Amino acid sequence: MSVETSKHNKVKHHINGKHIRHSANNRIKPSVEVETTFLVKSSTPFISGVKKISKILDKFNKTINRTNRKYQGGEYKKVNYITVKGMGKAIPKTLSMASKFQDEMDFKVDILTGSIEVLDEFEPDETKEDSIEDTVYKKRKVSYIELRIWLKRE
Amino acid sequence: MDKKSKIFHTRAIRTQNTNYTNGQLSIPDFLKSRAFEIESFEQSQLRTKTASSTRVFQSLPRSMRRRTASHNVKRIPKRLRNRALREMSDTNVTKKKKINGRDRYKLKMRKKLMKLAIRIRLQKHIPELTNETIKTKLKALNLQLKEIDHKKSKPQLNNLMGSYDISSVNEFSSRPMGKKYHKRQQMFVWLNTHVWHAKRFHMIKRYGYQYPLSPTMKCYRPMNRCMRNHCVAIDTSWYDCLTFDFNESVVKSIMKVTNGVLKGEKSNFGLIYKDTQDPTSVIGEGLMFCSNGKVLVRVHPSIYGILFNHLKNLVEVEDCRYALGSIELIGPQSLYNLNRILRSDSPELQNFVYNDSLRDGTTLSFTIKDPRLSKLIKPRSNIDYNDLVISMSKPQHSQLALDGLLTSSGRTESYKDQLTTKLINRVAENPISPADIPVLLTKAQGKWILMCPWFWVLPIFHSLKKIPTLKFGGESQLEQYCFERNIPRYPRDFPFLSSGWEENQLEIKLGLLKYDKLPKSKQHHFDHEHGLIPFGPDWEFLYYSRKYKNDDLSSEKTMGEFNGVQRVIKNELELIEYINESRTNELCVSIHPEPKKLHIKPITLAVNGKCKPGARIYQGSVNLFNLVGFVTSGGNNLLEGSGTGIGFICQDEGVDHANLIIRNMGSSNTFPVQRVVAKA
Repeated sequence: MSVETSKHNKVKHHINGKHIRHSANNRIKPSVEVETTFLVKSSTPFISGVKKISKILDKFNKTINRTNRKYQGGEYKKVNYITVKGMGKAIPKTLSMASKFQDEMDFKVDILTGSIEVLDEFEPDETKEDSIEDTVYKKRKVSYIELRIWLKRE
Repeated sequence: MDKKSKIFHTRAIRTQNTNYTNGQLSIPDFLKSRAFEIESFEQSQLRTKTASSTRVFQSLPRSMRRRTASHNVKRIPKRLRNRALREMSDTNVTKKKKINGRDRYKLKMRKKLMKLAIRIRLQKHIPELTNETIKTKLKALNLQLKEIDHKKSKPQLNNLMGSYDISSVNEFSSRPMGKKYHKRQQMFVWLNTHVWHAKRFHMIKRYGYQYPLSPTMKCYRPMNRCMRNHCVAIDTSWYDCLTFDFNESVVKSIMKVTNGVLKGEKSNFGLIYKDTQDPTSVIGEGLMFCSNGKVLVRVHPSIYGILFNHLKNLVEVEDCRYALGSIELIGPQSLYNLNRILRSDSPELQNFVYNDSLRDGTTLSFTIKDPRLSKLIKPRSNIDYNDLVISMSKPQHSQLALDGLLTSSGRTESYKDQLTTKLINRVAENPISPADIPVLLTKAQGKWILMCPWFWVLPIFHSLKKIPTLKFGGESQLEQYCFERNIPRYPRDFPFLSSGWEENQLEIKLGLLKYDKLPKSKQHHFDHEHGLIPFGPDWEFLYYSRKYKNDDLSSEKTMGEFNGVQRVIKNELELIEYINESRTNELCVSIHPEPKKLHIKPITLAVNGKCKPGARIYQGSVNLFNLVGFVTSGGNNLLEGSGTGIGFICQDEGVDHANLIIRNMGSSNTFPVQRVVAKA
């Protein structure tokens, strides 16, 4: 999940320095979770995102993916839904993806909301005189939305 | 029989009774008549299944296959060994006994001993000895030998492994002797991990080292994936280190550093100068870390000699080329993986179980215990990631670790009672309390660099091997990493420095050698190169052609003197001739405006096609006078999803980023540049 900052999210008081945004995606995930999660960025085009998610759904579909039995057994057997997450600016796009899968493609979709803490770093630019002396860290809450697109399993 | 019926009979195919009765098929009769065929068919199927010619190791994944697996069962995983043994016993091949190297050596030794024995018999006695029994003779000889050995100053060993600190002040230290195979290491120093790498990697002999280039298995795409999602480890002990006592003016004179670096909060990776005031005195790229009254500099071996000799005149420098080794780790799981093998005293590292998004320059120093004594663990942490990142911005340095790493006595101390692999395997719980190993961990160019005493690289490397998702790479992987992230790779992407220039010249030379070896029919014609050297970037050509274009706008130009007379150049052909005559193979490009040098600037470009190293960059159209630069490293970038390249274009008037076209070496195809990322 990339950290998106829209205008109203920016730190209000003036800080001179390079703004470094730390990713909210900071946990090492198990491989199954990696394969069943799609993170929507603000730069992700809508159709590309839909296609990517459909591809993951197809992997688990027995009638489409006939050759690779990997997704029918073992750890993958417990997978019930694909997770799609989007935060900040990407929330509307994620929601329209939800309606696409729910209404047009006839999937059962759960929508969850939440907020997550991200970190902003302001690094001093030593070439400028009026810049801050030390690196400043600021925590910030960003809201996110999570879709659960349920697999169609026989 | 008449002729007609005879012809009819010859054409008829004889068949069995078709078991039709009144037009109906009787199944039991039919099966009975075909029983033999069916049975033999089934049997043959079974036979072919059991008598398959495939061997058991052929079912293994590529990474687990070994070259000698066909005749050495120990190269096959244990679970398959029994089957492999059975397969081997089935083959009825009788082997001829060959004389191998060892037998030959034994025979040679026997011959030598025989000669010696004859000589001793002729001399009747061993000189300088009058004692009679062999035992006493040997004793006296041993004493004599000991005296001679004592005169040579041998390093004092404090361990069974034979590890000792190899460093010297203000002079280049002697090369490590190597624990085995001394003769092969005389010219090119082996890394500690040499034996492991030599079996799995293409090795390269350069800069006085023999180091891994790339794995023998094809791995371009897997390595890309691994660098993105997991971790790739590379033994980079062939990068050279030196230390000197902290001196602010000296530090500031060789590198542009910030206060944070001077205070020792973080390390700095950047250009190294002879004098920072003079931008043309750049030597190369390097890493610097100052703390605890010491300065550590790590550079590419191609510039080590220049830097060392320069610093020698300013301060007392300690040569740590063979005293400090390093392992570079690429990928988001680097710290996590280190955490799995290292039992450290650093609370910061212990908590690091996440993806890392820490800034370049973040430095940790801590001590660890011998990693071979502990098992692989799954580290856990309850600290919030963001708090951890904040705490990592000013990490507490371990005085013990820095003292241990940056001083000769400290490194020697770390080798105390270093256990051999045999001892580790034999004793499950070792009574010896292992020494503290000082380690420095720093981030540069997005990679983690783990630095430790030279002879501790191998144990750490062995422990890293236990991690299943971790892959090992060589120099090519470092190059791939830099290329995919548009980071200029030293020395290749620094044609304005002497080491980069030499690299470029070497590449041209190698290309020419390769070309000459090809049969005439396979050699390309380089008609469309118009006088450019077809094996690499031809900076000299660019220098002269730009000079010709900028000097004058009249049709006839004079360039330089030739046989004492000013030469008049009337057309393209004469210019090519002139350039070819006046080549000197000397550095003629610079990123700063300098007299008698072409002023160039770096660019990163993306094309919708192939962009190979050495590709020519034109502006406008493909014309000799529209040549503006060259690509130094390029290829298909898996992160970008298109061809990208790092190159340089000249900074003449009228040359900018618009309408750039690329043409690869030896090809007439051109690709328009889609995107240009200007670099500072």
